Amino acid sequence: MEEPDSLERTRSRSRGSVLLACLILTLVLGCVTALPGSAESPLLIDALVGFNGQAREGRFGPVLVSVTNAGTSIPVDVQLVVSWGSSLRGTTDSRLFTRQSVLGSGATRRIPFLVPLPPDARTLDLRISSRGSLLAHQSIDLRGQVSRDRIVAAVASELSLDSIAALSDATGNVRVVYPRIDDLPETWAAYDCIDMVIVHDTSFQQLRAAQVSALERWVVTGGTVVLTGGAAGLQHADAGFGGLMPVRVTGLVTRTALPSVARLAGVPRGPRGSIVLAESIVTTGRTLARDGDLPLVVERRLGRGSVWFLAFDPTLAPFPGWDGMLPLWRLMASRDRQPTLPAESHAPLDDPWLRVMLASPALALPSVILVLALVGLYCALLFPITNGRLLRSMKTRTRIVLLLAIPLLAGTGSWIVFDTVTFRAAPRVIDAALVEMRSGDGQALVTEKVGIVATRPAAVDIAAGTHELPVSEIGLRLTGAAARTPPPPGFAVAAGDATRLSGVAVGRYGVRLILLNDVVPMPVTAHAVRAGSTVTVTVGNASARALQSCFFWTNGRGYRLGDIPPNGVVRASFALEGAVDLQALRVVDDPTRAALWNLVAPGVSGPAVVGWLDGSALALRVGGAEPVNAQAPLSLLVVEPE
Amino acid sequence: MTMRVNPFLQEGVRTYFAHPGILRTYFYLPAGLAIVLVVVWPRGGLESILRSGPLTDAFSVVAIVFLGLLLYFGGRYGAEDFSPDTMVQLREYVTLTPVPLVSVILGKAGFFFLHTFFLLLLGAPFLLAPVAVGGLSLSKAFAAFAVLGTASLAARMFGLFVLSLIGDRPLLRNVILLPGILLFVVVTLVAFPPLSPIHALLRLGSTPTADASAGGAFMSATAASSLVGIGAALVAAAGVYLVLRVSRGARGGSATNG
Repeated sequence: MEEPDSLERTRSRSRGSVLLACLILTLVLGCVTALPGSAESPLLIDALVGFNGQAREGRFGPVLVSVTNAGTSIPVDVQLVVSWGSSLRGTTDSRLFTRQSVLGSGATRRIPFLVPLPPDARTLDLRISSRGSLLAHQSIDLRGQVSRDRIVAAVASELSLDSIAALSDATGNVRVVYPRIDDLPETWAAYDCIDMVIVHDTSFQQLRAAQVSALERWVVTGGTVVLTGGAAGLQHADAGFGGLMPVRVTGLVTRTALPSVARLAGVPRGPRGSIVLAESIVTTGRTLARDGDLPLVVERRLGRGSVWFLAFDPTLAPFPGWDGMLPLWRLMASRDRQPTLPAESHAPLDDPWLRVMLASPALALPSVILVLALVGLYCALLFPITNGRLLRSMKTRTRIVLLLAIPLLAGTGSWIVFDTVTFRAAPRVIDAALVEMRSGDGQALVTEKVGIVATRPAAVDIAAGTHELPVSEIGLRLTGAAARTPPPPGFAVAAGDATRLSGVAVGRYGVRLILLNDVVPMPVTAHAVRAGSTVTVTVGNASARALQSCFFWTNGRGYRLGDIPPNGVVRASFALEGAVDLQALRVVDDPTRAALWNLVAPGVSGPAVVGWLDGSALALRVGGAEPVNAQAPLSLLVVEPE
Repeated sequence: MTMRVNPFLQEGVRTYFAHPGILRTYFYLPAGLAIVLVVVWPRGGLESILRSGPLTDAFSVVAIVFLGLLLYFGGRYGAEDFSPDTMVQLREYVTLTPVPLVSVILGKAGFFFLHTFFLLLLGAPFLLAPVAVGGLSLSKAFAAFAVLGTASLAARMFGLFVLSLIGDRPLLRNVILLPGILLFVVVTLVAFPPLSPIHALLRLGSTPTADASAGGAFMSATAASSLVGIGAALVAAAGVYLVLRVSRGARGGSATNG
């Protein structure tokens, strides 16, 4: 009789166990599906680092993020975090880059980023979120994609320039990458991670104006572009390189030998065979090898960099087997750009501009005399009350009131005086633009340093006010108080129509120096001719603003040119011994601008310089306040010596 | 008996703001701080500050000297070292009157609290100056006052304990009192640094407030040190209670025997 009951209880327990198991399973499944990222995301993301996944370390590099949205149209925040340093040594740093976008339904959007790739770059985290919820995430290990190798980007329809990898030597390897025309960056600094661009052909595709402009601006900063000739050379002007080329291609001719090219390459024998050459007229630049009137190798110096034109096609016979081709490539690639990002940071206090700011009276600490005044006043008020012999008749209640009131007033006064005096306008910011360009090129490399010093922990926002800029930082390693309390690393860079740095944290008595590099159109030309003891200077200002207090500087002496109105030209002749006093020329009354002199006018044999006072090249604002540089920065134009 | 009419509270207020010997000590406290402040005040430009970093030291040095002065004067005030002879003696009062011991201790503690607040106010101008110039926030200044105040309260209650234990033997009192306070400071600093008021003041002077986690660290150091101060004061108060209770019992017993 007991067995059925027992069986029933067993079945009942069994059913309960099953129900419990189902419940637990449901809960577990519910939790798992509720986990962030476990739900199927409607977004498909991909990121391309550098050029075809290759970038040189210590530079800025492009990251092209492709997002395909299989769901409904949504606004998204695309965030890219690049981190570097060693966590073991506790030196990790990171930079957050943000872009906002709207992803249409079923559409693929390509979102370009420009990120620093320091020598110890480690990871790249891509996050896409919408209204605070994370939609997609991808982590990319940078160590396989960022290397010390020099990178050559070949714009060619075929993989025909691999032979350039033979430029590898003891100083490092050379890699050749073939970016798609459409993937070429629209920001000049994105080319920072490569060393040379060779344009062979574009398969008759036309580059966007922004792509060509970016390439031009990169050359100004020290890049090298080689445009090859042959039949493919006819495409260059139509592809958009017409303004960049040192020649105008007019047709094709054929030659059987090019002895002048052999001389340039330093080899005894030139290429022999039927060689198709691009016939051209030199528009700007220097012909290094020619065959009669036919330019064969032309170099155009543009800013710090150069643009080369080869009349022949180095990928076609007889050049691949010619022993002079490698020396010729070596000649063109001889200028190795300096790394933008230093491997190790140095003390920003050593920066001459920052020294000036720190020496500013506005940032001086309250003097000890002020402290003595506080001490004297307080003690003078306190002494009669605390001395029992004096004011003996004073009532206890009055004494208590005074003993409470005097410290209260003194404490309040102490706080107000020392807090207000010391921190009149913290954080303090300076900016200083160093403008460099070469006559006639119409572009200028601007390096703007933003130095921020704060006497108490603070975070500031910087609106650079122009298009996307490469942002780097001079070291944060400080000594003393600031070293013990370094500011938290990192800040966000929002790029788009303008670059904006958010949350640049400055520690207690901390300093941060940020570099903003840009290339801006500066249509100012200068020309100097020396005849005996007289120098004649012609400066043209094709810009829409007046150049104030212009001067000419050569051989360690300065000459006044006065103001030059918009679209004006000033021509003046000076006796070389009639220079004005050096001090009178330092109209910026900022003694550390002398650093510029040291840079661009090193001694009597240095280049000639035209300088003027100008508004800020980068419209820098901090925290939405007034522009930070009240005084006009000094701009310099290096004049081609003749 | 309520706190409002507590004779120890009333007498403390009357005595400590009228007696010339005590009044003079109110000048010594800020005078000592003033000398230290002038000596450690940062000189030179901001660049030298950034390189050598004496600013944090300015606050820390002044705060630690302030702590030392408060502990010294607090202990001696607690032991009624500066009090006039006419002041009611604690043990006599307890043994001769039936006033509840809790009221006695509450009255003393209430006055100690108010008087410690007053002492903090006296030194505040010279502590706020390095706080301001050191780039510290007002919240840190208040945190420093909490550390200083609780440590001073503990010293005062310890002084009262020594007074109730030893009575009217000033030399012996000071021989126990001052080394006892010093021992407390040294032991907490060496053996249990997170509980030490000196450690808390050093943390306050060296932690940037922009960093949230660091802000939490300085708050926890402040809270730990303050709790230790309050705990030590409560232990000392319990000791006072026990000693006075024993004294009253012995007096009652001897009166019965007599």
